[in-house]
Amino acid sequence: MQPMRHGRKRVDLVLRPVSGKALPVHKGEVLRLTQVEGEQCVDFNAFNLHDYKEHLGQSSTRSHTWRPRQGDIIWTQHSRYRPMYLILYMPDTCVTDVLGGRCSFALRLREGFGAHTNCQDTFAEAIGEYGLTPDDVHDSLNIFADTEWDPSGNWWINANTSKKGDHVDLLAIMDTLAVPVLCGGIASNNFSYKPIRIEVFELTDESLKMSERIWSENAPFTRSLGDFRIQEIRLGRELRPVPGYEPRFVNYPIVKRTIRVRLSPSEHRALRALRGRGLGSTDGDALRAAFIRAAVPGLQVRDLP
Amino acid sequence: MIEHDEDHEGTTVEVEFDQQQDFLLEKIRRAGRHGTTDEEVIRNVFRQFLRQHGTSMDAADETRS
Repeated sequence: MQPMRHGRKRVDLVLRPVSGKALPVHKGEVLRLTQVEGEQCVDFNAFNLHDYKEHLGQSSTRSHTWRPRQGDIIWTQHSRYRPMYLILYMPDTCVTDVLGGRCSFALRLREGFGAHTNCQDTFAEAIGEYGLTPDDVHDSLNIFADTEWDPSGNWWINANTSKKGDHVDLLAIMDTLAVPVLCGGIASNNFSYKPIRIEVFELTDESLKMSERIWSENAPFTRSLGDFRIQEIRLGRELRPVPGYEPRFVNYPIVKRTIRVRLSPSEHRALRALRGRGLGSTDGDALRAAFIRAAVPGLQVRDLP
Repeated sequence: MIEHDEDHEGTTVEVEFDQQQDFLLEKIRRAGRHGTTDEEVIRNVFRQFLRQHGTSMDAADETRS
């Protein structure tokens, strides 16, 4: 990725340990997070500045990679799936995590601590400035967070290897309320808390152009509020069925038709061989699976043995 | 899915496609690079899959499209 010239700096502050800040970062602007001393994890939430119901989507981002790095996009949640930030710059010493969620008061209590700093509560306090509640905190993009996971589902936290001066630049693709918080966990920060510098750089022609390009490239694959059947935000907390509501599930019911395909003897033998490799339990299943796997090159599916 | 016995000319496989898979099939058919009928398209895409995965066909030059 080509280096980009940043605009004038309009925000420059240093967050003290175990604090956080909600701050607008507009389309085309760059948010920079810098290690003041090193070894500090940053948990990150973000909202659409004009519609708080749209927010950073941990699992939609994870659909692309669970280690977002330089050049990757951070997406909003699955209901909209719109590009929110581009990771414009990230050093190799920065490991990200979109699997681990965030720590909470309950986790620390269970571990035997008393009242303990935790990212859930830090987020909640930071977004309170905009009238948002603890329930609006969502699973975070964890930056400078070296978690590790194995196929059995075990996970652990590796030492934080970030150094003083390491920084990450996020280019906003939409108008956002960015919420970086300084992780109040335990091992993620090598057992002590450090400050983080927060800077916001105004847009330039180049950064705006890049934001708009990423937005328009992805527009055909996204949804907006106007696409929703129900657009109003509920006022009451108690849930009751809406009289007369009928769900309209996509492509429901599934309807199948049978297609007869004549295969040569050699093709059929190859199909049978594929069945032996686990592609399907019948010839028809295997043929359909092979067709779709070949027709959709980006399909995230395990290679055949 | 019914599988017919293989004869000397080959085997007919019956494959079920739902409406979403049909969309994909129709899109490929309209692109015109894999044949004009559903059968041709499925068969040619299947052959493409075999090439991509290095699966051998004893008579790979047998074509029918």
